[in-house]
Amino acid sequence: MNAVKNGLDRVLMLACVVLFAVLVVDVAWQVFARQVLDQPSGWSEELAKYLFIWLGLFGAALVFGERGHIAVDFAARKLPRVGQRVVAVVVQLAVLTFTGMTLIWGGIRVANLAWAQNLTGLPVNVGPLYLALPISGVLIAFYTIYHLVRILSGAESAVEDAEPDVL
Amino acid sequence: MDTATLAALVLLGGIALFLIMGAPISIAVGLSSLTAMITALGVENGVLTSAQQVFRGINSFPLLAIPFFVLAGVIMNQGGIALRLVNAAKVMVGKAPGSLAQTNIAANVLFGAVSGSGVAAAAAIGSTIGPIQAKEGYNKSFAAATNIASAPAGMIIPPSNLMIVYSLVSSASVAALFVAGYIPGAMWAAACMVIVYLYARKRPELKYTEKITFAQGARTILSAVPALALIVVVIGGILAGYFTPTEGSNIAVIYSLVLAFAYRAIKVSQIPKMLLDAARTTSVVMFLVGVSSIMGFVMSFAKIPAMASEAIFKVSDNPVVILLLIAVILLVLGMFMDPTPAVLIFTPIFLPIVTAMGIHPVHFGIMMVMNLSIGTITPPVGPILFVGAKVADIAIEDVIRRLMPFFLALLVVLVMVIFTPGLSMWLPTQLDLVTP
Repeated sequence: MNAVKNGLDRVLMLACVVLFAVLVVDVAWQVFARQVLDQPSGWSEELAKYLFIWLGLFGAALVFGERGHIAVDFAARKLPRVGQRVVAVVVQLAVLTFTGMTLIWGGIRVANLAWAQNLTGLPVNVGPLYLALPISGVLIAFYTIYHLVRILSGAESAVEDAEPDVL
Repeated sequence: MDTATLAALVLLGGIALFLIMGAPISIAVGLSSLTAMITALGVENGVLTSAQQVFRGINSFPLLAIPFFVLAGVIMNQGGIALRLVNAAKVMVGKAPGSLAQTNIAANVLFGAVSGSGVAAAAAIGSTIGPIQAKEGYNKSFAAATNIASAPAGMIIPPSNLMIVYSLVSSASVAALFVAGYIPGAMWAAACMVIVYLYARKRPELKYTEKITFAQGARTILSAVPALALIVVVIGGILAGYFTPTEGSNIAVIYSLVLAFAYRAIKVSQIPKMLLDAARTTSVVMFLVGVSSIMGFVMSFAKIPAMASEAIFKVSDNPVVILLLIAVILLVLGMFMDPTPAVLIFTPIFLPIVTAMGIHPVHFGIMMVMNLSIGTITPPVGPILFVGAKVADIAIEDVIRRLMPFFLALLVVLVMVIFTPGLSMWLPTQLDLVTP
């Protein structure tokens, strides 16, 4: 399981870096095309939005792998050790439930419904773009099960020392 | 019980329960919203609509300004730009009492004016100037408190990532919000400077002794000009209508990248790491925005804003009392919650109440951001407090004692901003960005 997680981490990091880099270039191109070439691009804004959704969801999955999403954990820290573990397990199950129902199940249904719907500016349909939801959902589910197993076996502490990571 | 009330109970009860258990805020909000959605629409449609809302929430070009401003901040931090701003601030402050602490405040303002984040300012500026202050005999806790108290000014002075989030949920114009932040942000910094002045007045040993010739001073200021020109290019370009805030944020990335290379402060091989750092910070926010849009859908269905305004108007119909009540609620919330989720969750609840009293959404945005900014420097959940104490390597309890006078001064500024709409609205009105 550890090897799979490390491999996944690397693939996701690479995906985030590439998506972000393309995103920067795409929007820079949009400004350049309009202000310098005087030929506004018809596709750059749409491409940017979809790159951004994929980046956001993959990045979110990566951060679930690191248990790095912002939480209010000062109350949980005050619990005795056993209580902390119980609460941590419930929390991981909550992550799993939300991910399974919204991102995976709901995401597959949305992608199905919109499968053949056209986009004006890009040569792809909307449906496949929605696949970002179930794909990131499966990744988050994997990471959550990974943490669940490790919390239960005691390999990982119940309450993480999170780094402040806000705007 | 009708479905709307049941959905409201499930939503609010669920969020509170999961937050206390220490679940990620996005999951507390997401799972509770999903459950409320299912109570209202049934399972099949509930999961479908929730998934659509997550996608729709992130599918936004204006929101894209956040990753770019975050990335620009990361580049400035490592690209030698923060250091040049500190040096320029030092020359500007001159030999005022407590000049190094004043420099810290000025540098936080300058960093805030080129980047969108308060946490980044506290880390970058605090770690640059803290060691110099220690060498010059400053009390370490006082130095850290100054850095912590003044860093949130960067969240009020444009560009500001938090304002972008607020504009998204309130539909107020980003350009108007940006401009509206200048005067309140300057007042925030001024309040900190007054406290430092009062502290340093009686301590002559805190006078900076290093002699700077005019030529040295001029050279230092000049070396910061390219960094400061970013303000003119990005904010000026947005206001003049050459580009959108998102495009402006992209230009900030390219510009700071060019500067960092020109200063030979970064190598190409460092870029992937910087992209990844910025991607992590942004993804957390994006995911929150996505799940909050499920909550937005459920909230209007469950008539929560209407219930909240009914409850508040029951307490009083005096606008002054209501505004103070909201300010106190936001201050308490801000102590326990990070500003981004607080803006996402509470704007839809409070904004209809204050607009009904004739308050402009831009003015309320400034009030809300200031309120929550104070929360970033208070325990138990204070990201800027934690970062500031960490870079200064001292205990939180020691800083808090020194922070007290700053808190008082900032509360005075907050009350002024709340009850003097002109402080926020004058500048955007002059620039024709709002119709009052």
